[in-house]
Amino acid sequence: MDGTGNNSQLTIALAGNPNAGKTTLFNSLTGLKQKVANYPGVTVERKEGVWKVGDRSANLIDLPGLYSLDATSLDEQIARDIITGEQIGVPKPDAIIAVVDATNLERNLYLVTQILEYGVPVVIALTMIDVYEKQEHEIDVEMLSVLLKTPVIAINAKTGRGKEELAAKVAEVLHTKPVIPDIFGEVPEADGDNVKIFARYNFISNAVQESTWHSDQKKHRISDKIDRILTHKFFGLVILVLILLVVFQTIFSWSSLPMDLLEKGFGAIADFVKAEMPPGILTDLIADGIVAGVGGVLVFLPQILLLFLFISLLEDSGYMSRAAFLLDKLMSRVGLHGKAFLPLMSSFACAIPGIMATRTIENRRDRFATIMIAPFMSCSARLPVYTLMIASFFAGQTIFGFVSVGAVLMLGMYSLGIFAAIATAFVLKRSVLKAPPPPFLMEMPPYRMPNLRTVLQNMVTQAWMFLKRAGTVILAISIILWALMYFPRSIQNTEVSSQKTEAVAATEGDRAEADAPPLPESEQIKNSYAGRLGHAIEPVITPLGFDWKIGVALIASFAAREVLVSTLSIIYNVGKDENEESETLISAVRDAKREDGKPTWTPLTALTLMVFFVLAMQCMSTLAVVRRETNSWSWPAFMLVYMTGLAYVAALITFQAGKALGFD
Amino acid sequence: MDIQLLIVIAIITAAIAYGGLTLFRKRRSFSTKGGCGSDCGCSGSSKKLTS
Repeated sequence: MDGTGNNSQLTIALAGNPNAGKTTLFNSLTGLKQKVANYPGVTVERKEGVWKVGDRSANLIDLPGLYSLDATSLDEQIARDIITGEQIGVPKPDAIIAVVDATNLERNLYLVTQILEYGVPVVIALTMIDVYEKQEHEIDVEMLSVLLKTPVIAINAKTGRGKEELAAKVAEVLHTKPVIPDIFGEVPEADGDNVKIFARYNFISNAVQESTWHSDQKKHRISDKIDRILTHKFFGLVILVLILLVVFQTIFSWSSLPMDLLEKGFGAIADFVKAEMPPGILTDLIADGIVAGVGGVLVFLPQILLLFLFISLLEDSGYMSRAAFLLDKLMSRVGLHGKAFLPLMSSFACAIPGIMATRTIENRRDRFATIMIAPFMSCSARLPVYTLMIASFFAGQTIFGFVSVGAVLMLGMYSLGIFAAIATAFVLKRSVLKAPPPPFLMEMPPYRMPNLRTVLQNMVTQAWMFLKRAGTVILAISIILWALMYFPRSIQNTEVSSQKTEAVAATEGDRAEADAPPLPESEQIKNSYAGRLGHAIEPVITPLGFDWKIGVALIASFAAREVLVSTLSIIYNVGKDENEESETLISAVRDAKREDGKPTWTPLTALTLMVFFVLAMQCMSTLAVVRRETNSWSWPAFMLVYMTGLAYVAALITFQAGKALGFD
Repeated sequence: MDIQLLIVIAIITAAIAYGGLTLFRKRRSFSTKGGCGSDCGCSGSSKKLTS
């Protein structure tokens, strides 16, 4: 609908530079909860929501950020196509809200001058005005509106300032034809792009100079002062390492109490089931399969929440862009595009949004190189594996008396992933994906106090995803794994019993077979389907220091990484003999014994397993997304083979070298 | 066949069915690119990059 007066749904697009506050405004107007962060390029797909404009309903589209309408990358192309009405299946917008960051007025208005030329009614939403005023600048919104010949509304999405005014202004402009300011003046049509760019900036500069005042030019901005230290090539890196160490150490210390409580809680549930239900196969499934499998993963919820608390705080404060700046030099040396940082950063939560975020990279080869290395970043699914290993073998140990070994190991695993990614990119960019890295200008958002709502929202979203996964995929896999570890039962009992009681049977007939005592559970699991599979792959994993039980867990973890934890939990519960006491997964891992009586796990085995998990490609969903994003089977197949091959070799080196040095 | 075994068989069947359905959905996302057409501009119906 285009202002003809009928009541069909309006289409309104939110357009603006990356990190101008579009998604915050979108969430505020629609009440939705799209991810928000204080760095550019968070929105790579079109997001839609419903917004009330006067008495009419509008479909509000949150577009990916773009600096111009020249559209050199996929996300910019989508945004441009929607604005111009050329996107198939999306009606041309009835109005555009141009989101403009007041702290970067000139650069943000460049895009606005291009949008105005498309003849669609435009309202400018001026964001970050509070930050702008804190920097001791003033802006005359009305004057700016007059000079641009376009309505300008000052907005604060967090407090709600200007929201109603914005809706009223959008309703008002729907029936008007926009006035296009005379930007080019006497510039002839035939003149080149550079002349037009200059003319645009000249027009914008005049408008900005006439509508803004800077009350204190002498004072250095606080952000600049902080940046001198945080982006220093030496001290910046030292501070980055220290921040990460503090984050990991805090995660371990803060999460230990809730984790213990959860573990005891799930243990109590399993004991309750066994005590209250009649003995039998269903009781075993619930206690040893469902509660042990799902509970084994759920106990890591406190770590997940804390990890995302810190990631959100670092993102929202603006520190992540400084971390990007510090690593950019290294990334560009190996040939990675500067824009690869955000996808790689997103991959620390999950590789899937990270891989989708590579759409901001224009060059196909640069994009594919980033996709190929994104899964090396330690995602949240690896966290339960790292935590289980560290809690089992390195808990309470310190270096210099105060630095936790667990935090150092965790930092080491994250660093190993980054190092593997950089090394892989170095090889790929000099072989199959050869291309010169394009120049990249990085935007440094100003520091700001993290928004509590945004931080909590990110934590709740991640916690919900974790719980949903535990209640669906992990639950289903736990049940199937339990069945594979429990069966075949009666047949195996009969077979083995009949061998054992052959002599007795000869004298007492069939009664002896029926009365033969069942095999101990530890023998039972060895003869189960999973046990047979584990034994079949044992020759391959023995050089890594793993036994067949770890082998079963490794195979299962190729469905999803955290399944390793639930599988070990089920294995040690199902395989527990009647005279063995109930124990937590951590103590079960510590006490597990091989058939020759030696401990299954040592600190070296734990370290080897962690190294394997850093590098192996164990996520079907990631492979599916790589297939979709590359439109090829070769790339996901290549990724699966080279990552898992690399993981095996690195784990082999870790174990054998550790053994040679006497650590086994 | 006792009641516990029957319930266990039902639960395991449901888990396998859920796993199968999830794999089937994954297979679709593995094989198609049409689903992202209007979002990422990379489907066959979308225009080529202009620059």
